[in-house]
Amino acid sequence: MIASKRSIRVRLTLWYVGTMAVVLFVFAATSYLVAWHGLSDGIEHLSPETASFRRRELNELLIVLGLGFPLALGVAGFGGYILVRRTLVPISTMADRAKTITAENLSDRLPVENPGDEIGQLATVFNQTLERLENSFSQLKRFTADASHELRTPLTAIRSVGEVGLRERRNEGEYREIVGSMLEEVDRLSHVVDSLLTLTRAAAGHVQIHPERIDIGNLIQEVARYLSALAEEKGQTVEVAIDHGLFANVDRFILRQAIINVLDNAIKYSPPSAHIRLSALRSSESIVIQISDNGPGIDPQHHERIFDRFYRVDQARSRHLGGAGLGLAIARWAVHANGGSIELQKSVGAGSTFRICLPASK
Amino acid sequence: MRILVVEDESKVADALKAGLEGEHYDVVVSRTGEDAFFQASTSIFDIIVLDWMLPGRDGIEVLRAVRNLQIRIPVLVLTARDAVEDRVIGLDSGADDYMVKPFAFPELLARIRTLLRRGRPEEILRLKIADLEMDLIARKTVRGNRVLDLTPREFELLEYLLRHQNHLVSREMLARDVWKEPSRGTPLDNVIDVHIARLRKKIDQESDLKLIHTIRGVGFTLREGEP
Repeated sequence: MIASKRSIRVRLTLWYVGTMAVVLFVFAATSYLVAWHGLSDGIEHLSPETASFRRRELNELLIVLGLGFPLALGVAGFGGYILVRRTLVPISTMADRAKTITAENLSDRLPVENPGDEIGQLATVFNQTLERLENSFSQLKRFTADASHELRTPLTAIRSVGEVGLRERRNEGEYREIVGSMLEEVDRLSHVVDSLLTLTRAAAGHVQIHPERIDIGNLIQEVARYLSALAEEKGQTVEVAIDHGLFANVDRFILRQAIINVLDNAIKYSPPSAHIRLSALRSSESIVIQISDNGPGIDPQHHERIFDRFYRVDQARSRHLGGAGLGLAIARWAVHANGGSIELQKSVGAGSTFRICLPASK
Repeated sequence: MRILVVEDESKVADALKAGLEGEHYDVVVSRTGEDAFFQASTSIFDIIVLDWMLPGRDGIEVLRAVRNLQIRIPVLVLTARDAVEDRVIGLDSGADDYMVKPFAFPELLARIRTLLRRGRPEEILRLKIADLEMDLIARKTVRGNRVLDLTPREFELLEYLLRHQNHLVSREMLARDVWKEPSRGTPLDNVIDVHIARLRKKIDQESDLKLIHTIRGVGFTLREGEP
């Protein structure tokens, strides 16, 4: 279709006038022919007066039709133009409102006059798009704020430790302590940057997934062995229960990261001598991995955001334990990348349970 | 031993020079790709530490040019680019090793030692420091006249520390070389600290001469006497 430079209003009016012209012409031509047929039939047998009267009549009809045609067309065109304009008014209102919507007032919505008609539906769809945009925008804002906080905290520590360290002369041992403490913060900063990079690359789709058929039970045992020393130090027990022959097509390394992150949290946030259970079972077409502890549990108010980047249930405590608040966000990405799902089970009372579902491989 | 350090960021270049000279290497610093190529093609070095991102001719171009001249000295590429593809480009262009910034200095030293040792494999079957002895074939560890009962992980950890005795070992090196953990994002520092604490208990608790030392903010070292 050739795009026209004319506005919809003008185009619709022209189409309307064109159609009306055809209709009116057909109507006029038909009436003239009918009249002509009626009046000129047997005109040669009539008296000359009557014959010329009839001819005059026909001529007059022709003049009336000739003058009436453009007039009727003009009236129809004008009416059509008004009608089209009235129909299109909501669209220009929408356009004017849409022009004023920027990142600052993404909460504004377009007016919906009649949600039932086409224009109303258009406005509704547009508003839904705006809402999604608003959500991702506020997520992004929160993320930027959280990220800068997370990056600034170690920077602030490095700076103040360094500045305070230089205020007076100290002995070698003290300087060593100061530099060491600054290096610890550098480590923390590197860790945040590395995790952020992992997530950003994942979000941009830059991480290659290399699925292979692996034994999930095997992986679970490996992870448990890997972190068992941490649990032992806290006097916690890690119980592993797995079905045999659980195979899935996953990227071993990426899935492993998810399980490590969740289990590491369970060990970190459970009190000494807690009991942690790691299980993998088959459930029809899927493999269900559960990591549960009998620790303090997670308050329901946090459930919705627990997988968000930088979200922390207890700000001060988590940072003290060395977390950047990205572990579960990475875990969620890692599970999704492998075609699975991860959720925090609605827990009643003590303890929390994370459940990972993966499609089983034959 | 002469080392050519190619790095345009002056703070990093100065730190590398000072640190390497502290280890008794002879260091020449080059700040541009052109100069680096000139240095590498006109004088003799034992190893080149090459930054990827340089003004003008970048590190990889320099590396290719050097390899085109059939100069076969070991090259260690340093870079902030850590994607797998970048690593492949680096190694395909003729690099012998690849380190991602920010790197830990002890690790750089360890890798330089490895590259310098390359081609002269040393089959070590016994490792020793002070009165601590490790027999790698019999998998037996003795401190003085005490036979130590180590788990396989502790054995590997101690072996690694012994191989790098008198040098600093970072947690990152342990994570990669002992735990075989390829990602820097995995929370492993606590796991390593726990194992070091257990190893220390078994080795040092009953002896007056402490061998395992923690260097705050850097890592660990196995040596006689205070670091």
